[in-house]
Amino acid sequence: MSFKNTLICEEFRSEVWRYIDGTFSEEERSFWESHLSSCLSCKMLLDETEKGLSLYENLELEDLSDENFDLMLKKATGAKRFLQYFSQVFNIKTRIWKTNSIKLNPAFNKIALSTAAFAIVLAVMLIIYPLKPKINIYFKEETTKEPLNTLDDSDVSGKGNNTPAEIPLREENKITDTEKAIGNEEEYTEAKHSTGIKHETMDWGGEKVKKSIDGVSNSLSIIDAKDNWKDHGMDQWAMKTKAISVEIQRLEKELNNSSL
Amino acid sequence: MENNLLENQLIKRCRNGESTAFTELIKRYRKQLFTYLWRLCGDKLEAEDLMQETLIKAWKGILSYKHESKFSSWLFTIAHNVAMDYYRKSKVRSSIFVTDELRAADYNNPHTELIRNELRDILECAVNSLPEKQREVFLLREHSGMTFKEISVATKEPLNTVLGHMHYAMEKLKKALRVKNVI
Repeated sequence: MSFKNTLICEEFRSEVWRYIDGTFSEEERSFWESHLSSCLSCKMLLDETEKGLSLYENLELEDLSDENFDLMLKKATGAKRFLQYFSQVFNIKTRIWKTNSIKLNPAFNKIALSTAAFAIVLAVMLIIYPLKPKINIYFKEETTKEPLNTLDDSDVSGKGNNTPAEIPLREENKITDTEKAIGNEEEYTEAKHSTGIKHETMDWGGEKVKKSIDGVSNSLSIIDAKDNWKDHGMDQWAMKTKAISVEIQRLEKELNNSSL
Repeated sequence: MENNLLENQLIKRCRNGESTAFTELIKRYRKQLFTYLWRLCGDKLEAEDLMQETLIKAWKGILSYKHESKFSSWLFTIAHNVAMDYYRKSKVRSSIFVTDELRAADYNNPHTELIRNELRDILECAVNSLPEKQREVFLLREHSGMTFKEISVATKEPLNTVLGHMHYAMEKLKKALRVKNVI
């Protein structure tokens, strides 16, 4: 045995831990054992390392008081484990992505189902709630809708492409300027319905006013074209004409205001 | 073998929420874990805080323990991460890993510890004077019983780097022991 400082010795310095841990193959171990039997420096390196480690390992370990340890455990196990709760409820295996199976545990069936039902109801409510205003508009539109007698909406508006959601609601029981001009709400309403002009159209403003005017003018021309109106009751046709004329004036006024 | 079976049973019971099983399981590593944390941070109170945090994380995370590594390795990895997180958070104020002088002073303080023999002092001072990474690797190797490969995973460092840290740590330890003619 002699002191050497060869390349093999250099390699042993980096391999000494594997040697100590015993993670060598039999072949490697026998190679290093034969080297150690002939190399004093490597043998000393190994001995010193093992001795140093054993000295450290023999040191008394630190410890904390039992009282502190118990408090720590109590606090630790008192911490909620959400994952555990859900895994118990649904008996989901922890490595769910590997097992591909979710089985309902009979012991937790009731809790699971009631939780699921509650979640579904909540989800539905959350979906419906933002749509509530639109639904209200739709239902009000449906209830205020009257059957048309003579002209349909397309005849009056020209195109008839107004959807219920797009039409602003008229305030209930409010008498408009047009109605005041006529002075008789019942007659006015009757006239409107009989000409097929929906109150939404009559109260409509903004950009579609012009379209409404065109539609009403069209209706008026149709009425004018009816030569035999006198035969069917003069008062009714006069009322219709009056209502339409007043509405045209109102709409033109609105148009002017909006253009200003 | 029997020990492993018992440990697996305890782990299973822990997963079902049995705190007594968790107590029993942790008791097996109580001293090693606490010593590791204490020697890593150099302060008993800090070590207690880190121990508490480690136990909380272990209890919460035991459902995700996959039996791919030993339970002790898993537990010490948690402890290591907790210590490193704590270190990172408190780095702005001051490092919890106090300077060598301070640490040496703490260990020489008669009020902080009971009587220590000379060898113990030499070894502890030598370990405490190791650079951070070397100390981490050395303590993990000595207290957790983890292999270098497992330490490499836990510290997120290449295996050769871990071996290098261990080599230099051991060299310094041996040097300290040689000075006192212990080896």
